[in-house]
Amino acid sequence: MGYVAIKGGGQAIEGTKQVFDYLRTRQGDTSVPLDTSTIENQLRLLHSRVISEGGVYHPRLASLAIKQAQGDTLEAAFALRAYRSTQPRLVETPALNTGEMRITRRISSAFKDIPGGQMLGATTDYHLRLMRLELLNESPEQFSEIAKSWFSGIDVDVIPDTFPKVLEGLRAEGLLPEIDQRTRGQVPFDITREPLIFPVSRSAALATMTRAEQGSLLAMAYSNMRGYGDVHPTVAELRVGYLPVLLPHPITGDLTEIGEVEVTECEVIAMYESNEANDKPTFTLGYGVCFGHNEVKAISMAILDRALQKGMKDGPTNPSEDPEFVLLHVDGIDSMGFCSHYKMPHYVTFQSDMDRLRKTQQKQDVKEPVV
Amino acid sequence: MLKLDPIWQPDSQQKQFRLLLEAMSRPGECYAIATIPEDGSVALSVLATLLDAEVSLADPDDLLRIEDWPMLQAKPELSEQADYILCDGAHPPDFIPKIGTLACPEQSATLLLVVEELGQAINSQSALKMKLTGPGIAASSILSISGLNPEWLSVREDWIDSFPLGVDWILVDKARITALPRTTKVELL
Amino acid sequence: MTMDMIERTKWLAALTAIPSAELMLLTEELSKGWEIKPMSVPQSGLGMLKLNDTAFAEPFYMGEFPVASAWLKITTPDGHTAEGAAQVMDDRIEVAEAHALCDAILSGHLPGHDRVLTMVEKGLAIREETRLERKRILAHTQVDFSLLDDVGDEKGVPNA
Repeated sequence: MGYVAIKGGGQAIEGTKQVFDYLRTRQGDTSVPLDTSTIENQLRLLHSRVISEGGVYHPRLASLAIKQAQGDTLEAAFALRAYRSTQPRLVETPALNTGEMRITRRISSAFKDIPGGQMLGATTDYHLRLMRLELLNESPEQFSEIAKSWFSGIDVDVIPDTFPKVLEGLRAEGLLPEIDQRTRGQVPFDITREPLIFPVSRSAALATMTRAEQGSLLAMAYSNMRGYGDVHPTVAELRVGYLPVLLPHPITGDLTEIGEVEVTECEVIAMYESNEANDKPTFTLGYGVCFGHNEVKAISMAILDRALQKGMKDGPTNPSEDPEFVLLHVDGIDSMGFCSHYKMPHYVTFQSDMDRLRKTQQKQDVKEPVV
Repeated sequence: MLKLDPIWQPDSQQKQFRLLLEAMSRPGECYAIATIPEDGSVALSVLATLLDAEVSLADPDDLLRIEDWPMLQAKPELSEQADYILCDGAHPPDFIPKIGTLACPEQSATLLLVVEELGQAINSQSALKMKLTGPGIAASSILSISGLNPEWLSVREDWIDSFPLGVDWILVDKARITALPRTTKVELL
Repeated sequence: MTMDMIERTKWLAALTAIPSAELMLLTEELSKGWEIKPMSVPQSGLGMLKLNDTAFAEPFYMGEFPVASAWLKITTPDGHTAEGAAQVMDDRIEVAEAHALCDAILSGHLPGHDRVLTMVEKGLAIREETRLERKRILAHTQVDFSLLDDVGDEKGVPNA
């Protein structure tokens, strides 16, 4: 593809920066600039999405990215990714376990009674999708009253501190595939350093999907759910909560909590299959996890994980089972970047297309003279 | 308050890095070290510029102090596997460094050799005088080194025999550096 | 609470609950006149989060987080010495340095350690409040299936 170097556009480009910011700020004299804390708190789920797609857990910069991109999630995730590419890699955590999560939501569709119980948390699953018109004129007083008032009189003693994973119960009963101990010490694939060259490992697939653009991941998973696939999933467990991030203390070497990250995690149980000729059949599993509170993403990722496992083992029979099809098309920065590049001048390429068409038309006229 | 020796600060590391690039581009030319450390050896100044937590370092002659290692952040490694090797030029070599593979010739070692003195002409009986030719050298040039065991030059011949495989050298005395990449032909005079 | 009751591995989580500006004011005040030598180059950058998936216990890289680190050796004018280090989930080196100072002050019982201990206790209380808030969210939305049991029996998950 030929890109034409432009001289005359420099001023126009400068102008776009000013015009973009003008649109951001022309609300009127009574308006106030968005502050990053407001974005993080009141646009919590948008914020989660941008953190996840940016691939770096930096709440303050994710808010800034949303603010500067005027709400464009692809641009905001892009800005966050660009930031991370300027930073040196200093450390790697030991392999963390989500059993340590500080839960704020936990459900299972596979079982009614699970150890520790089901707690719906802050979900919109059961809300009526009606416009809450009273929020149109929400006053600061009404706003602050909500957070203040609902804490009174809630008994927390009934809630345990830790919650065993639902899958562990199934594993103990022999209903799940055995864990291959050899994978424990494996070095995972680092997608921030190496390009995907197929076939790729499952760790490459998981890393790619966890920072994938939510809509693309959902569309692919949906295709599988609707029949371009065979997963037939049941959610074994869906958790939302905060995972402590641990690093060894530089002097003592003891694991120390340096902070926590909000994550959403989902395991799906899919159709059972035989592993080897004589082994008992077991359920198949899919795993999804992402930064922030994003259930559609975690569930979609779990379904696609299962679909890709099948595709990598038996060969894909549907697009959602094809690792190349899925993994190369779900990254938001890749896809929006390529889409946007079509706006770059393609004058030379197109000129040659025009020349070719004219010549072809001329040849046709010579063969069939116009009467 | 917090005192960080200049050799660890970004702006002096950038100057030092520029210098190393120049030295690698003009093999055999001697350059004055950009930043002499307040505390530590000149070799440390070069290592501080080049190393981080992603690479490994071997110090077979124990030239570094214990407190230098956490500052350098490089992983300690055996000479045969290390990305960077710090050597006392006066001792004869007793290891074979990584020379890379045909597919990845860059996966080879960079040696930092500490010598007594570098220059075009040195007043020392034991100084090795050599003629250098190759990329980055107009026709040929002369380099003299004192404090370098001559065995280094013969093992270097072996190590760089199968270009692009090979190793690259940086030599450092009390105040100056010079570089001998694998493309430089060295003829002992 | 005395220092002995709070393990060193818990100090950082407690102190990061305190607004960093407040903490840095304290460490600046306490460290006036101290000789502070870095044992490693203070840096800020990214850490990679490695996670075991719960389906197959396979490790993978989930994503990155900001991290700043500092490792300091302190000598007070009286001749007390202590080493402290910290890695914090923050992009600012000065925050890591402040936490490394706290780590040294507490572990080495340097002058001012009682004030840092007070900060630790304050931080632990904030963390406890967060823990209770999360429990309240769960308690407030816990599903009570007992009424369903009157209608029919459904097999629950086998206990691990």
